[in-house]
Amino acid sequence: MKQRRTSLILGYCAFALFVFAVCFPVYWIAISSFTPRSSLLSSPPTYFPDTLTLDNYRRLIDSLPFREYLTNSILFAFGSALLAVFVSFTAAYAFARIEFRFRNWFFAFFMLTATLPSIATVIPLFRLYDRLGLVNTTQGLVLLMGSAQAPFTIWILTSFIRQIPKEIDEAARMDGAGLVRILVQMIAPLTKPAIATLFVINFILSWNELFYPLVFAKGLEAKTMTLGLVELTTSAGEGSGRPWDLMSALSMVMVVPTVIIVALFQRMIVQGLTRGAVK
Amino acid sequence: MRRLSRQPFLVAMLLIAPALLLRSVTAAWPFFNNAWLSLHRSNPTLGPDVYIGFDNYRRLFRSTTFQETTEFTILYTVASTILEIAIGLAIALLLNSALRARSIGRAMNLIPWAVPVVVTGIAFRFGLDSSFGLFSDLFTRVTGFQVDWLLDRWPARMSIIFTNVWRNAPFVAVILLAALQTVPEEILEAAKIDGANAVKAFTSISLPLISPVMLSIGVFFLIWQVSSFDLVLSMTGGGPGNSTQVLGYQAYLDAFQSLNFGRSAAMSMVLLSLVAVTGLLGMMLLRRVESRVN
Repeated sequence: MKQRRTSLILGYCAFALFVFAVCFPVYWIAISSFTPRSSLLSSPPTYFPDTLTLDNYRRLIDSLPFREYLTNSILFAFGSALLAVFVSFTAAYAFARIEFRFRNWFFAFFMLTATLPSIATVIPLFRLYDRLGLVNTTQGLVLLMGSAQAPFTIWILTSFIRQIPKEIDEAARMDGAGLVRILVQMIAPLTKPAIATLFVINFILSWNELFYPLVFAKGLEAKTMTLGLVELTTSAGEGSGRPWDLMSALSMVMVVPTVIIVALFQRMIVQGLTRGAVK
Repeated sequence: MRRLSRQPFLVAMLLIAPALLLRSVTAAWPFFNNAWLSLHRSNPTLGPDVYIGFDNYRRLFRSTTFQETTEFTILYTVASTILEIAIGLAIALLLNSALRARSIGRAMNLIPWAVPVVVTGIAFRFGLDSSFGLFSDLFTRVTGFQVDWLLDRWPARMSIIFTNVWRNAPFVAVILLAALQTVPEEILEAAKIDGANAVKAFTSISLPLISPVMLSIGVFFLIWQVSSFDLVLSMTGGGPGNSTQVLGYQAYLDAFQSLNFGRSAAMSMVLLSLVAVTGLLGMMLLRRVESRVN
């Protein structure tokens, strides 16, 4: 009995340490974003600021092309998630339900392209985009990001569709339903939770993506908040010359939506993420 | 008869066509083009590409900076992955135990994953600043040591690996927790009745059962982290000096700041060969482990 209690106490200590380690960096960004600029870079730092202000957010809205970056991030994340889920859904149906020649080869092709480092593809892509006039457009970025997310999405959706009893589409086919009707009216409603999960996961991943915007976004038309944040870091000088007030406020604008989404859809996201690894 | 066997192929092709087209145009084709490009002197400011054979590679392998970058890339990837799996397993075990608070813990696990890498990098960059950073201050208060985290070579390397682990270990925990939950309760109970303690039950039952999952996330994380560089870019920029530089970021800088496309293409091909070797070794190991489990 006594041994059980010690292990319980140890467990709670470890748990407290874990919670602290996860939350501390987020806490640091949060308090920084509400601390007046004048007392922000003080030494030693303050753990519990005594004055809180919204000034940093006000300056963020004024000084950066903040609204453009925000709009671009939303369009980019929404568009990429939508594209990835859409093209993956039809492909996953084919992989899950249809016996066709070279099926495993095609599937392997998708999975192999997922292991390619994206840096090993961007120079030719940049030249192509330059010729097509797709550099610095949100559409161009959406095509790249949606495509990059397709393999994982296909993988997970295929395993979900396999779980739906085959008899359902067979019965529908007997009744004379065409492929489109089966997909839209039978399979899509049945895989709605999986589709929603993958949409949410892909949305978060694109919202957080830096690489493609870094290479392909050159101006206000396409730059996202991730890129805006990186440019703030490199804009001013070293150390205390950097606009930590703006950076922490912008960081909060990027973190809060994803944390809310994670809190709301926690169970779904965990299911989606673990689907591939654990059968 | 022949038409019947051909039709499902056509239908299937129609269904996979959009994804296939996207992946071919944005991944397969540019990859082959990049491989070809690595054999050229290619710089948009110097006119058309010139075929130079393996010169880009030869020059790379002679460069000491490239050697240092490659070494740190491997160190960063391997050390991060090992720590992530070890700490991820610890978190998963903690949350799998009968603690009341574990549902809160499960939600927490996703937070570092949901925070944009760029934000993580910048938070740690400022937090580790030796005069006004909160993390560095806390470290000094607890241990009594004062370290210039991001100004010296090894502390900077440790910092960036640690930050990467902060971000990914909880994510690994999410997956390992799911794997631990597939271990049948009855077997663990039976082991306890036979007198095995918790440690023994874990090492002889749970660990072998989840080892294929651990191995496959290990390979997945090695492959994925070896080419990712957003943390390096936002946290240290590769510095101090060249000490935290990684191949992916160097290839990016070569291509889009120095406009040396050929050199960058060669570097990304070296990166790809690391991915390929890791993937092949991983698959061989996985096959062996899985055959032992079954």
